[in-house]
Amino acid sequence: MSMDIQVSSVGVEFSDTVALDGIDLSLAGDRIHGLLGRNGAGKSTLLSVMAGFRKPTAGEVFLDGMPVFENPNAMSQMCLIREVPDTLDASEKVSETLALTRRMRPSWDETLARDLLDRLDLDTGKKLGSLSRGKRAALGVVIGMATRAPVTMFDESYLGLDAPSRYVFYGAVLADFMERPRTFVISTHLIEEVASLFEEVTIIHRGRLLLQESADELTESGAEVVGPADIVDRFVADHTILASRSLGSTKAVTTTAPLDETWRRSAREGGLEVRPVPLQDLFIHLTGRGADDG
Amino acid sequence: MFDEDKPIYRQIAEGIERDILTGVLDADEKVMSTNEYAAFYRINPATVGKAFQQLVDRGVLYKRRGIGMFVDAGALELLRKEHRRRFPADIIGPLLAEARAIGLSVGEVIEEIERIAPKEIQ
Amino acid sequence: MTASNDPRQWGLAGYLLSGFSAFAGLMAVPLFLVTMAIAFLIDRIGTLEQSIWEWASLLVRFYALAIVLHVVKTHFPLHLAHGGTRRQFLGQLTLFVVAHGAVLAGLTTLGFWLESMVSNLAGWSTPTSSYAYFDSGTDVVAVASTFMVLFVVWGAATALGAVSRYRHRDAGGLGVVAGVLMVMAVESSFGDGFLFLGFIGRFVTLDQWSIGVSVAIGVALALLATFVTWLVGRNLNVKNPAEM
Repeated sequence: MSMDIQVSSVGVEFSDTVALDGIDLSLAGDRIHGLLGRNGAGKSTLLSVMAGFRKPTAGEVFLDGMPVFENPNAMSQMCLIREVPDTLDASEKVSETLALTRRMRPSWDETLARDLLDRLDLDTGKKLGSLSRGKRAALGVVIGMATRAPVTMFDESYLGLDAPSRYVFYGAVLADFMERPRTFVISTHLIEEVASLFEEVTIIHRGRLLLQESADELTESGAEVVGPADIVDRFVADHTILASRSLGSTKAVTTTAPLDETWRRSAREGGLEVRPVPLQDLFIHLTGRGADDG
Repeated sequence: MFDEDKPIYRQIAEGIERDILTGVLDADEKVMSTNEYAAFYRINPATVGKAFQQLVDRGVLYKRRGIGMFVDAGALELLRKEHRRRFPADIIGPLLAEARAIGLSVGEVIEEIERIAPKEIQ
Repeated sequence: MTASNDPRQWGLAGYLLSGFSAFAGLMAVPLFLVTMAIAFLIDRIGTLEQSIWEWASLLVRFYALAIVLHVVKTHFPLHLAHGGTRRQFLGQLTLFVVAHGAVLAGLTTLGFWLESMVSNLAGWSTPTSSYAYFDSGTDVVAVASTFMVLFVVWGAATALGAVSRYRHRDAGGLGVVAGVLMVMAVESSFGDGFLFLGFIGRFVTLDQWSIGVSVAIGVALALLATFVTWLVGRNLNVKNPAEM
């Protein structure tokens, strides 16, 4: 049964700031969702609210139609891992915290846990207090993956991992997703590394929902056109320009033109180079200074 | 792995088309599954699925439920026709533009082609 | 997996209790032996005027406090992180405070009783007690009731303070103050000021009260602490461990 998440007019206000404002969002179950946003945009707050870690000041979150907050049926289906995992005290060992997790999570997959512990080179005999940032992140990843919660969320938890370990993580997410699909929500600012994992992308900007689209459509929604300046200008005349730079008589323009075959072909015939805009660049354009108006 | 030129799913689709044209994939042969592609290229299987769906829509692949994706019997002919149609714009046009840029006349280009051709057609 | 099969629903109190009871039992043995050694020495040097185990019971109170504090600080966030609800945890916490209080009360009562036996056998002078309702450890019912109520109130008051502080670092101090006041009230209702916490007992005469009244006061305080803890804890945010 796939677990759809429904975020309904959710707002979170702190004493002096508004972290989230009127978020209406629907995350389809059994997909890998990317949650993007600048630092302070509200991603972590949104994930906390979705997991029932925080009660929103306005609105509500539903999982498969059930309200989430303080609902044992809903909260038991969710797992949110942040930069540092919730564990026992620093004097306890990794193995003890894993044993406790195993007790609390009926869906725990010991085989998957052992495999990841090995591949991430995490010694279960070590004391929690002695773990480096990278190893703590690794523990968080193991817990998140092996818990096998139908809704598994990572709030930039794997950023502490070194590059090879990060790729172990991405591979583990994909492999496990294909074997036994679950809803993944992954927030990140290392966009280019993770972009190919996402089926859907949600962008939060300044506490509001900026957009939510299929990853493929998003990457197709922009194009970079490079060539002689006058020809480029003619081609992008009717489209929104996100960015532009020049080198002599050559110009490179990023535009929100659709990247369909006919348009590309005529651009190429005209002597222009047309490339898709990487998700990271799109994200930068959409959430940069100029994007704050309106 | 993937060049910057095209969206990933298009590259996968074109890769399959190329395999059909070059004979790596025969008619009614099974194509690798979405999961195999996804695992190999480390991308979301939905992206691969999109590539496959486009190929099915065009008649290049067909689906057998529960088994997988197969090369359509008419795919080779279809792709050849398509590529033949696009050959002037996609290949000859850029070739002549390049020739022009470096100062080769059309006649000189044809001479070069005739010189190389016998060696190529093995 | 139905809710009734869910280990989270039933297991936490039991899990914690088994671990901590075993530990308490183990600790009780050396504590008792040391207590007896001290009593023996004092009897040798001078006169034994007071039960030494009574002093030990002071340690047991702070032990009860420390354990409940640990349970809240460590297991509350963990319970929520692993898919449990606040309601579930607070329910399990209540069960734990009562059951753990019972275990500690049992050990303490046993200590008093053994002390009386040893004292009689060794011919020590009979120690007086600063507790209102019993003089010797042989009055097992009075001893057990006293300490059951005391430890439960100490536990509930600690829970209140700990949950308050978890929810709000600074304003949570109020919860701690409330807890301290509750402890002082219950101590006063059972004692006459030997233990500094019960100093109010010096001003209030307990002669007219029966043990039933004190137990009722203790139970009321425990219920109040539980209720306020519930109010404070039912909606609190799970903190980001990276920020702690």
